[in-house]
Amino acid sequence: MTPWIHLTKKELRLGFPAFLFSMIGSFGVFVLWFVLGIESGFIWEGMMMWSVLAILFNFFYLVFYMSYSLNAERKRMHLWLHNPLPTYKLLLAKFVSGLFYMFIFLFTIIIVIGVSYGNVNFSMQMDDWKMTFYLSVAYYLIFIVSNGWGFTFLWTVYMSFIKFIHPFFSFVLTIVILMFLFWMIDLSSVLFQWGEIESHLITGFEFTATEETFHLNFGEIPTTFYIGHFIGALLLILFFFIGSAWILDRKVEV
Amino acid sequence: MIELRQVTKRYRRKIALNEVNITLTPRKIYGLVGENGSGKSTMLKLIAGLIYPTRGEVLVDGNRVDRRVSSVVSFLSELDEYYSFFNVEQTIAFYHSQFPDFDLEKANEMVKFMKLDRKAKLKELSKGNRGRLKLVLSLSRNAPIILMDEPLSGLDPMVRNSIVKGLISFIDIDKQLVLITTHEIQEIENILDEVIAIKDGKIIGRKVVEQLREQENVGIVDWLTSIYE
Repeated sequence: MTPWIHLTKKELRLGFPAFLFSMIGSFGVFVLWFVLGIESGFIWEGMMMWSVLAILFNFFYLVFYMSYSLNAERKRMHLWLHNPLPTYKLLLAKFVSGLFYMFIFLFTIIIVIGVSYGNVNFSMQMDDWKMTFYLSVAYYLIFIVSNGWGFTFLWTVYMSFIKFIHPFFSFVLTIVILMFLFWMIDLSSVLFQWGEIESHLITGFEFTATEETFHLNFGEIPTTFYIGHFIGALLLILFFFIGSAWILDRKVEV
Repeated sequence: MIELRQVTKRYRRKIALNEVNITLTPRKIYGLVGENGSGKSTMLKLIAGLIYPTRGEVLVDGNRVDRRVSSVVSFLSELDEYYSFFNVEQTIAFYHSQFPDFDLEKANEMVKFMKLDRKAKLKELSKGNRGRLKLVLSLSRNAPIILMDEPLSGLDPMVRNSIVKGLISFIDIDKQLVLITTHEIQEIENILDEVIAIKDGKIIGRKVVEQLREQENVGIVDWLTSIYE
């Protein structure tokens, strides 16, 4: 366990510039929204909009982070892979460091939402808000994690191709595999459409900007969660994780 | 013991190693010599489990090599790449945390011997001092096999001299097998037990250095020149 913890600490330092970039970038956008908000008189709404954008970016945070970290390692693969730890632990160290930074980033979004929530004319009615909240958070996190491992898997596929073919064709072939994966996931999604939890949890959604300039009102949003979807997503994550480690161990060369 | 059996390594269209058969036994220092692109680095990476043979097999102590052979093989790469955010001390601590056979006491002794500043950031070190640090990291492991790819490449004579002295002082020849590739043959000639010549991915000669000197009265460079022509 200790070597892995030390490796994770190294990963945190290696990936720190990516974290810093995401924080500075999001702060820049935040300032922009804030200034625009002051000028138009919608400061809190501007902050809320920033939060929505940041939440969308956060969907792909681990893709961004793993892309940075793995590509930083590309120059020194002989250092990274010359290690007695199993490959899955090498990848997990990167992933855990990415998760750590992702949660810090997410925390800043939550703070902004918390500050601006009470100042925006925004309301949401739910039958069972706790259930909706927990399920949404679970969906959100699973989506982020599967994106991260999906990217890692495709990166290892790309790296295994470049020893045989030109990098450009490796990239094209990796995109083809990505398309195939999308098609397979879409095709198999029907297999996981079982275990319906509850639908129509959100019964009302209202967003009103002041002085009658902006108004959004949804009656009932159909929100159906399936246990099968969770299981499917977890199986997909497992496939990406095992696949990445296997390819990195046996097919990727320095 | 290292064995390469009928090993061929191909990179796209280029054959880097061609049906190589060789056995290296412990408690010896081997020099692997040859021109650029002859297959020296490929051979070392195959033994280190960082690449895989296209055909044939590479065995270390009778086991087929994979990436995790790094638990018994210490590999020094020719590349000048490091985790530049670490300083010398942190780099050593990181290696100590990753390799159970890393001898911290030996590393500290070597740092002193090489006159390295423990607090210096790697990105601030001169190329010579980075070369010295690579040697510290590689030789501080009590691994039975040490592979060194061009440890003297691009370094000035003073640094090369200190590295050769480091090799003499810190290799445990009673326990370790050392395989060194280099173009600076004359500088390590005195520490080699055997020399292996490689050309176009094939082993073209192998000699015991002492025999070469005493029986044939030639140095490694002369011998290499004669078989290369």
